[in-house]
Amino acid sequence: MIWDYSIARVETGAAAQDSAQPMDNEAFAAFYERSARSLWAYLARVCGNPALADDLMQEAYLHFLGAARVPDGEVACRRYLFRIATNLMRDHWRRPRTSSIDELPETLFAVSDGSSASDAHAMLGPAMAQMRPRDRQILWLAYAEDYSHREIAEITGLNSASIRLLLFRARRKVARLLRSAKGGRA
Amino acid sequence: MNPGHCTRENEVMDLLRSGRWPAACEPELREHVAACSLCAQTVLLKSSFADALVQAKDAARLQSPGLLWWRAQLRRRHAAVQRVNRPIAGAQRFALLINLLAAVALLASQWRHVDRLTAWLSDVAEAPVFHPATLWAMVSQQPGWSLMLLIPFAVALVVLGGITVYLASER
Repeated sequence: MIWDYSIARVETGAAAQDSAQPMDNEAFAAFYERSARSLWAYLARVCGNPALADDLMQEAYLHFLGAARVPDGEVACRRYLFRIATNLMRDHWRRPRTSSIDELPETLFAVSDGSSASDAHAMLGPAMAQMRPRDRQILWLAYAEDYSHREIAEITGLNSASIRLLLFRARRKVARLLRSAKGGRA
Repeated sequence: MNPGHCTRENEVMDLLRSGRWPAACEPELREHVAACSLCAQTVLLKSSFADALVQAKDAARLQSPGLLWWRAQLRRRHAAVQRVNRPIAGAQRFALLINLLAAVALLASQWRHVDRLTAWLSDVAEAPVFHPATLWAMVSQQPGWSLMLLIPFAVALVVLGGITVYLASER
């Protein structure tokens, strides 16, 4: 009894200190319904591994719910969630078995979700597999999620000027790969 | 003009986002896109990524939000328990350290009496009351004694076993 009271005090005390508005079950369920598919798509496309995307998505939501401070508003919450997911991906790639995000073989990221419906989709998979993970993140956030440079900078932790340059290079490269894939098919 | 940027790129992007490209677009803008490599690149990328997004969303495997919420609550509670326990664990460590220091100080102060202590211990160990044969002889002569010894022994064994199991499961 006393123990429960102490724990409750610690929980509410921490919340009050950081002026957090914890999401209740219903609010979270609604937010999850609106954001989970996009987040999964981002993780699966950038990691190229649906099973890993499942794990990272679950962990991202647990981090989100456990955060002492959650930003106000749906858009900010969504951006915050993508930021958590981006950091989790980075942590995953930095674990000892892989020394660096950029040293990973690109074949690890080959998209293998089994779908090959449209030509654009079928061509984008191999093209993305040839990009560096960071470029894949930036491209996906810019062209699939429609985030601005400033928002991408906030999510990835890079500065806005770097995003502009990285995105310019990445889009030139992926466009070249898409065109050559298209030319190869024609 | 900025070589990496076209002034009409945002216009093209807006049309793509709203799904009005290419059907509900001015012919003049279509002509521009056909001539401008940057806008053509934007169209190619945006349409490819939009298709990929739709298909990836369809392939998404979602969990129950209720289960996630419940797991997050458990994790939060666990973190709170750890926060509460932190000072207690610190106090326990401090108490252990003080006890160890006191024991070391006691040993150091009594070191010169060690010879007398070992001699006393060996005397006690050789006393007839601690010999199993003497004890057995005493017990076997008086039948009531065997039960009087057996029952407390069994009870002590059960209690100690219970405590051991409890401590092991707590850990």
